[in-house]
Amino acid sequence: MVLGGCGSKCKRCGTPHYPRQIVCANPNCGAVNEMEPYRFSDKKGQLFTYTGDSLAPSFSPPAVYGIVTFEGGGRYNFDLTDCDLESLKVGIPVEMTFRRKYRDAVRGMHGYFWKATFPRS
Amino acid sequence: MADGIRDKVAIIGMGCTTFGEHFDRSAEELIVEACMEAIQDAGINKKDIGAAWSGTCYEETNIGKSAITLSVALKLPFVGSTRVENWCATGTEALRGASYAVAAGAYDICLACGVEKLKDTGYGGLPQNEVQWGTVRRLVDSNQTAPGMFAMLATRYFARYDIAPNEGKRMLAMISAKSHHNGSLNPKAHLRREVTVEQIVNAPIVAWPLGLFDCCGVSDGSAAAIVCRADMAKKFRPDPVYIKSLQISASSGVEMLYDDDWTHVESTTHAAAAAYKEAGIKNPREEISMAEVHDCFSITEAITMEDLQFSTRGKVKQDIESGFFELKGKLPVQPDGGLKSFGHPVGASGLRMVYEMYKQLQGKAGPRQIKNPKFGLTHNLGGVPSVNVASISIVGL
Repeated sequence: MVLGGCGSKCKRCGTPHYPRQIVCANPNCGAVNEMEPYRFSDKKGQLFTYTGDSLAPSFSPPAVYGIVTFEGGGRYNFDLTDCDLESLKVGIPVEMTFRRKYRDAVRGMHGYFWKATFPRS
Repeated sequence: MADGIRDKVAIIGMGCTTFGEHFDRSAEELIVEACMEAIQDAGINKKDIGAAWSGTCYEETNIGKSAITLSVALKLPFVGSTRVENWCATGTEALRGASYAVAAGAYDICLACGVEKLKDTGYGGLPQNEVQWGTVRRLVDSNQTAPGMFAMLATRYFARYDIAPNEGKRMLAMISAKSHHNGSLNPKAHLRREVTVEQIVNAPIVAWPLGLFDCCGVSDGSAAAIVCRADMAKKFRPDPVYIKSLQISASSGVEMLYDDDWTHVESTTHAAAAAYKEAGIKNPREEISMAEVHDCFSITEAITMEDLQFSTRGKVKQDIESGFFELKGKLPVQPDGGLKSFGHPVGASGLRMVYEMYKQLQGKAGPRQIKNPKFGLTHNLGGVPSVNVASISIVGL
């Protein structure tokens, strides 16, 4: 669920949630335990807000991240990749891509996760 | 029907250490200094304390779990002592615990103390970010820090109200310049230098568009309060300060996941409405005399002015530019320098804010004294703009 970029969708009112929730966030619904898996990794979205963070540890500072509002519903904050801070604007289209998030130097492993980027097509 | 806490509890003594880099002093020394100042200010003996609340947020590694650190440092005589933690609202949470215990009739006199020792971590920002959120959040969240999350509030605010970045940064710089000025007049503040708007807008960027001077100080320090039943307060001093309201609002999660606009903070808006109702305040802009708000970042203060109904939504810039919130303005905000200049030892900050309101109401704020204040408001915001705990207290004579 987590590495698959999956959240949940309320079976009663249809509200998508990322990450998966137990209680529906729609104040007019509030259904409990009525969620089904819902994939966000293939959804397009818009950049709702963003920053370039020089305090966050990063291989290429500043660490650029933002909040993505998905078409069809759902919103969360994600790292942004393959883009400069200067090229970002509130409202630009983005899509998700599975990229390296960290390197565990002790165990020689890379960890991957979903990041937002400019649409590739 | 519950009728709130208004005028049921009085603050009869307060203490506050200097905030700053206290590499030469332990958390216990800071606790004892703040609590002994409060106990002596109240004119009580520590044997009079019925129960105690101790607030620490981040640094359990320096301070320890539970309220044992407080009770042992102070040698409290086997009274009920409780540790509370609610992010940046921790200090206010300690005051709320002590005040509710008195209001409930369980005790006559209680102690609230907050302490944090952040500089020993050797890190400029807040430590241990990964343990604040639980497992799932740790897996899915972006590479976020506190300044980055609040920077996104500024990005969004500028976009929504069509404020150019350089114009927005100048607006925010005026907030920090004002707080540094106030802090320069305060011998207990951490960062006591005046800073100009030019210096602020040209400072290195921490998280765009926030620069170094848009971020508050991270400090060591402690603050404490002695509260008692309102009907016995004048036995201790002629000028007790009464609690008019204590409110906390925690995020429902809806903000990030569903429909927040990221140009206001929903929990602050809720806490403010509840606090004004409890205190009987109809027009906050006119009736509140002064405020200490959670200026963890300059943009937080700007948006809080709107959430507290001091400024109209989208119009705080006009009030900042007219000097409305300056020490000599109509509604002084951060008269002691705020988190920006006084510093931010997380668990102590809520009580530090009340300390300033208490001294101002008693006319003991020296060069920072505000003329005839009636109601003082304090506000904390723990967490990030969309997932947080907001606390508000209103105190008055």
